[in-house]
Amino acid sequence: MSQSVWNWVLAAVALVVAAAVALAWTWWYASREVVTPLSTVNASGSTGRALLVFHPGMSDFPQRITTAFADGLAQAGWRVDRTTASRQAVAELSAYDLIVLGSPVYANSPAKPLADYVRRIADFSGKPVVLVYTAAGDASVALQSSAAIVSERHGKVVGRFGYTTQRPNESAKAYPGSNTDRAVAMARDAARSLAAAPN
Amino acid sequence: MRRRRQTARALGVLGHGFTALRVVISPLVYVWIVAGESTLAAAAVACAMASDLIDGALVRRFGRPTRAGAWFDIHADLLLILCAFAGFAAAGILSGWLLAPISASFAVFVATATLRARLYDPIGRCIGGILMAAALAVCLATDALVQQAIGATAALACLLTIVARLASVLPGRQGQP
Repeated sequence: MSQSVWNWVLAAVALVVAAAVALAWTWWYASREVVTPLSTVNASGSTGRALLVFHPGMSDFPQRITTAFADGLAQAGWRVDRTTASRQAVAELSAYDLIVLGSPVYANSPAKPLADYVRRIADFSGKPVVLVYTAAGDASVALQSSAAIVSERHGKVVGRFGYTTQRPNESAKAYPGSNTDRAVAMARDAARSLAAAPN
Repeated sequence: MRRRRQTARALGVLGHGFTALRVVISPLVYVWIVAGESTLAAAAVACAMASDLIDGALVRRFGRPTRAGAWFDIHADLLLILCAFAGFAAAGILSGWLLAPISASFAVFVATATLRARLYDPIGRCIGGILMAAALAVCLATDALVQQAIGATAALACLLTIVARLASVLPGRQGQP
């Protein structure tokens, strides 16, 4: 085999190995639990009390969306407790008037730590639940399957919001800025309108 | 005969035109990615990849390949790749830290390209094409996990070429294939 062909073969093998390593690392990173302490937005809020459980994902988009949603609720006078989905996350929901679940969508499913968290909650006791997902192309399949699981556990799904990076989030151009900025503003507005009548 | 020579010269100039096309396309790629118009961005990256395949061949066949032309080609590639990955970062698709290994790999390429040492870097010779293909694949992917894996592969390819080039120019290793 000539040196040139050998170089091409070596480059191809190195790339395939790199892709396999990258895929394995990405899978592990996306599935790992991120433990964060409970933080409170608008601690003096008196309209209602919400629990936001989310998975931060691998880019800043999911976190920007969940932060905007929490800000929207806080602006409407709600107290919002935020934490990441893990075994340490709050599982006792009786103190809350609204549960918000936020996650990026991977392979048409929410991130594993959030899916595991929902499975650990045996009974949502009829509490209103909102799903706030981010996806590359389409979050609808993940929203639908999560809504079904929440309903099975006696949760009342009162809102499903999917925001994407690969498709324009709104065509009316009602919001300024980039597609991501629009999604953030839409999430904040969605939280504000939902806060008015969560049930 | 004269007409044929003029046509050949025109095709040679056209080769540089294809390189310039990448410079024009680059900001559009950024704008379309940030706007969430991934299909348009993918089409633009595909055009840029086609221009990268054609320009060098045209200049070598019909024009006068120059050092300046080669550097123009490399920097046009870099501009396109940086615009695409900066767009991915701004759109929340990939993390911004990916720009670091990409910029570092080009910096090492530029720093080592003028050295007399014999470089053994099988990935580096096609790193521009690999990164453009990665940008195209990210634009076309409809799953965030796949996009992240493509981004991580691109970062690893950059690291491999950096290590290969630096290892080749280390004292005592020069001249070894």
